[in-house]
Amino acid sequence: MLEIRDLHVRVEGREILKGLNLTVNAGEVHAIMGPNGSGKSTLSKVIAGHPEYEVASGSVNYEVNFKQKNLLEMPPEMRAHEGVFLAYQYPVEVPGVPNSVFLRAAFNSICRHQGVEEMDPVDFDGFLKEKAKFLDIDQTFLNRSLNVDLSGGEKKRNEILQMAVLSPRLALLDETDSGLDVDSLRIVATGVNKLRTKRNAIVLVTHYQRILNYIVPDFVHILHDGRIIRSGDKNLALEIEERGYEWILSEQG
Amino acid sequence: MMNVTNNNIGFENLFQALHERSKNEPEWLQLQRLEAKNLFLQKGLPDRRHEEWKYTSVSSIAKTTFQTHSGQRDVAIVSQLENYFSENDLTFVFLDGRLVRTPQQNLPVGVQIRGMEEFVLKGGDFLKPTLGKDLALAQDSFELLNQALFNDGYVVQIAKDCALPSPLHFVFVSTQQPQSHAYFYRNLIVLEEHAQAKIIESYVGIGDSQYLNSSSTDIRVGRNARLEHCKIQAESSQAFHVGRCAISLERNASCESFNFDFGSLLARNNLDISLTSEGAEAILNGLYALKGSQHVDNHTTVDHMSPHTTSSQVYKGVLTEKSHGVFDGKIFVRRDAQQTRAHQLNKNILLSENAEIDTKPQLEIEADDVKCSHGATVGQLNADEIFYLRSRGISNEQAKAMLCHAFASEVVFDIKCDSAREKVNFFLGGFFPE
Repeated sequence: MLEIRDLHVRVEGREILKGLNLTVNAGEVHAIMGPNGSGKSTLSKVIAGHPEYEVASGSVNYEVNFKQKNLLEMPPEMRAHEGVFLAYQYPVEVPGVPNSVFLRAAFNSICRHQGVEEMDPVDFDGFLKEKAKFLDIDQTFLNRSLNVDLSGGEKKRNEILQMAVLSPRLALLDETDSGLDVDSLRIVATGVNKLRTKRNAIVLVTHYQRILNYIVPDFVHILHDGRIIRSGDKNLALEIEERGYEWILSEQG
Repeated sequence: MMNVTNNNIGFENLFQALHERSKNEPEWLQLQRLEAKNLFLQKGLPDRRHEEWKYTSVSSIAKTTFQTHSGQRDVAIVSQLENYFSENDLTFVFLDGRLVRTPQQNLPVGVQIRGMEEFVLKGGDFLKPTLGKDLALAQDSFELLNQALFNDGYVVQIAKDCALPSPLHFVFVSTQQPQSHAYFYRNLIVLEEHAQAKIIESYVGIGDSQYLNSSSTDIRVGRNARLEHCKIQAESSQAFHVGRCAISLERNASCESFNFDFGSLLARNNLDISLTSEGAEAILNGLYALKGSQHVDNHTTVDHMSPHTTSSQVYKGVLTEKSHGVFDGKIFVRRDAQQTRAHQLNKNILLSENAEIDTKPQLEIEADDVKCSHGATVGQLNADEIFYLRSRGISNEQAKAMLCHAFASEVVFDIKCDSAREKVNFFLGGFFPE
């Protein structure tokens, strides 16, 4: 589904990703861990298409419905139309744009792209309320300005609500677990697991093993200094939790 | 020594017709018009050396020769605006300078509304205090022009304790004409003690011909009276609009003023608010959404003349293409006006490199125990917000339109009168299609 080859990325002239390789197949859940500053967030932003991240070389190929796409050539909205979704580490506050208006605009733009009939406001309202209820999101959120005056945990849950509404094929979760209390974490994980099917893939970027108790990964990768330096199964995350990153770094020399 | 300029020939036709047109009016008014005309001819139109016109050139008005209206009006054309009218309003329609339609409903007890033309022919003494105040000192050429040439308009009186249940809507429609016309409206609103009213003024162009609309509105809000006044300027794309509104508030009176500019090639609004007695309160909200080569200039003054008076102003602008906005806001706090609270903010978004805004918020404070603030911002749309919306599948254009709409809707949200809000959204939706 996602194939990243020798990816080099610069931000404001500084190289952050230095030859990253990653393959994600449909039906898989990958966790990417690594110390601060290793390039985890850069990776998610590049896949979503943030204009401030300059790809110096390498490729990001994305396969959906048996079609190969060069993700790097697509504007961010096109990536979303093709099923790529980034749950932000720091969701942006957008004053004056009600959550429900935003979500319907996003949902319908994806419908248009896929040639599916758009949903009218009344139907969408019902659809949205059902999703919100499942994620234990207060109905009043929906009519309030997008992410404005929400707590950190509420913002993260709102990201998962967006994911539930847009039902992406490839979901990237950028530190969605940080700042969540145990109850919120469980709710968020339930929401994510609901999306876990044979057709979809999930990439979790995280600092902590904790969320991996709820969303069990098929693969765990350690990112350091812009490269993946070790890959393994869920036990690798447990080992990191116990021993930190130092031992892997020293083994690398 | 006053500069005598020749940039007033454009109004010659209108001046010539004036004598014939006003001969049945009371003598005081004829004299008044004559004096205003002579003063205007001495003064001429302002140029950019004039401090109040530093950022706005009226040379395009000076170059135009305006014709008098032939008198033929196709009233049926007003039906094109039916969607814009609301059944719950008391709607008065002016067409190319003259009142052509009044509401079918009876007016509530305590409310008197008359067309200005009829009003002055019947004496119009009521008007005397608002006309000819120190004419010789009058700074504004367009006000002189309006005093000399005004033809129609409205006069509203709301009696003591009367709360008007429905909004009043005055619509000034200008249609496509083979030549450039100039229309001069004079309006007067008086709310007596404890009266309450919601009044909407709309200036709407049909077609895209060039014309000048000049309107001058005087408003008195009596003790404990409350007024919501909403002006929507949606003139045709080639029109000139010059609007003046002076609002005087008495003890514990309150007024919420909304000013929206969507149309015209060149528009200038002067809004002057006087808080004459203790406890008077004014809220001034404004929005200008401009494109093409539009130029809109908002000059406001708020004069805190007495203690315990309050004013709060937010004017917002969204400017795209080659449009040009001007905001000049003055707040005066007189020596006696202790315990005044005054806040003023002008926020602008420039959507293109060629759009321009000149903003000048000013505070002059003579009292020492006051809370005042003012400021202005000029910026672009937030790149992170755009990316966030795009990463959810919303196109770049739609994301920008949504964010502009969000920026503008803060002003719209504060309108309490549903009918006025619907009317604003009618034009706003056209500007930022979602």
